[in-house]
Amino acid sequence: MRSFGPNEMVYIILALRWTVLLATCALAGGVVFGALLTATGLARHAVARSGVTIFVQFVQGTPLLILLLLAYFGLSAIGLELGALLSSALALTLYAGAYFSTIWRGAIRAVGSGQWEGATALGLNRWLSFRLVIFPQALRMALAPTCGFTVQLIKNTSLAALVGFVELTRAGQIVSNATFQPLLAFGVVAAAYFVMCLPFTLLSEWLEHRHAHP
Amino acid sequence: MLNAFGRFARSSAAALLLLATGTVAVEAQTLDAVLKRGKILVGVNIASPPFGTTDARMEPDGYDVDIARMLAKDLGVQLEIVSVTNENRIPTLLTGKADVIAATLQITPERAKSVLFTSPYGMHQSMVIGPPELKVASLADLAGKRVGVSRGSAYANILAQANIPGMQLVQFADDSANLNALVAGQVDAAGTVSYLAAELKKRYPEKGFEQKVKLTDNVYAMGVRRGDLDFQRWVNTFLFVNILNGKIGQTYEKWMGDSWKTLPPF
Repeated sequence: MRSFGPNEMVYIILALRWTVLLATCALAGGVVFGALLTATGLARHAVARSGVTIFVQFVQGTPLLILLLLAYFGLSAIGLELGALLSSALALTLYAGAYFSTIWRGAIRAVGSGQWEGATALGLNRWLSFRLVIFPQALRMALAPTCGFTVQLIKNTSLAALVGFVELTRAGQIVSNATFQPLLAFGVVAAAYFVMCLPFTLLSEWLEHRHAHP
Repeated sequence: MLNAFGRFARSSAAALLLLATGTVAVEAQTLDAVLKRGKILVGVNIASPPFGTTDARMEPDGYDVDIARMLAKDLGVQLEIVSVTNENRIPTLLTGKADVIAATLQITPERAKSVLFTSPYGMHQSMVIGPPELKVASLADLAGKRVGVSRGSAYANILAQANIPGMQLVQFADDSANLNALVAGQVDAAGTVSYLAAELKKRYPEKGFEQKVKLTDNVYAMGVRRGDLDFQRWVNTFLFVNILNGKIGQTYEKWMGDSWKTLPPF
């Protein structure tokens, strides 16, 4: 059995790239999927709206771990063979999409109906009203919580360790078991997550502050 | 959107059902499939030294990894190590993400319901260890004690089924967490296996951890999917030949620091 040395340090730091990749995929996928859900959720079509509601409730009412296991084992059981990275990215995309759409729909709803009426009175159609009047106001409200959720998303990529995907947390487990020095191994892991999340936390705080004092 | 959701819900339900019942479609011709693919997928837990660990260059290494290397060599195919954990090793095998698992899999009747065991390739003892001041001579003495175990391990099951009144079984994610909890005094005693107890003694001689109760001999084997008899026969042949020519014994002694003993017939 070895002790914790530079090699182990480098191994954990290098595993950071998989966490970054997973978080990036989840974030990109979540933003696109979340926008889609938001648009559908605001549509006039009642069936589409309730479909989105059911989906969002399902995802928000299911532990992320279960979504990850379903994507990893469930899909391959029905013949769809995705690797650990892709299936984890898929589960995190569904998860992020559901939460983003809740945040964004809330922000859009928070813009008063008077704004829609005013825009219509100016002769703007529904799309132009949204783009020119509603969206800029909703954006300001949505940015801070979006950043806040992004921090959560980054940290939640650690659950992918449970399907054996060797990202930051699993690398820490491997090193901890090879060296029997969990404090050092997980200390480095914690520091790595902190460094990754700090910019988003600061950005979120700054946006919230700016929103409070326009 | 509703359609997509419906599809998702249906496939989720189907997947859950499959996972729950374990009736995953078995690809019976694994041996042919492996030969055709030119690559074998072996599930190993690389966070479980000395079976699966990482070398100085942080590449997979260990007893299970060496066995997997020999297996691939004898089969004449490339080796891909699939990283598994104790909890997901059997689902990984059953869903076809690995052709065979060599992941500290002790032979138990319970597990034999979901996997087909090959011949064994090693054994060790599982035991309960604790500090000298802990007065425990039998399982019953563990009443009212906090006992740490590594989740998903065979000795965790033995302790859980022992029905000891007032014993609190504390499940840790892995061996490192379990034994460090013992060192830190967060549990009174810990279930573990002989080679880890020896390692712990080396690391913390001042603590004087000693064996309190022997639990069982753990004989471990590889696992293939149920019904995959053809492939199991090949793995058994591989084990038979390499145990006979001493290669597996040498590898065992290199990793376990213990002499190879003839395994009980299985």
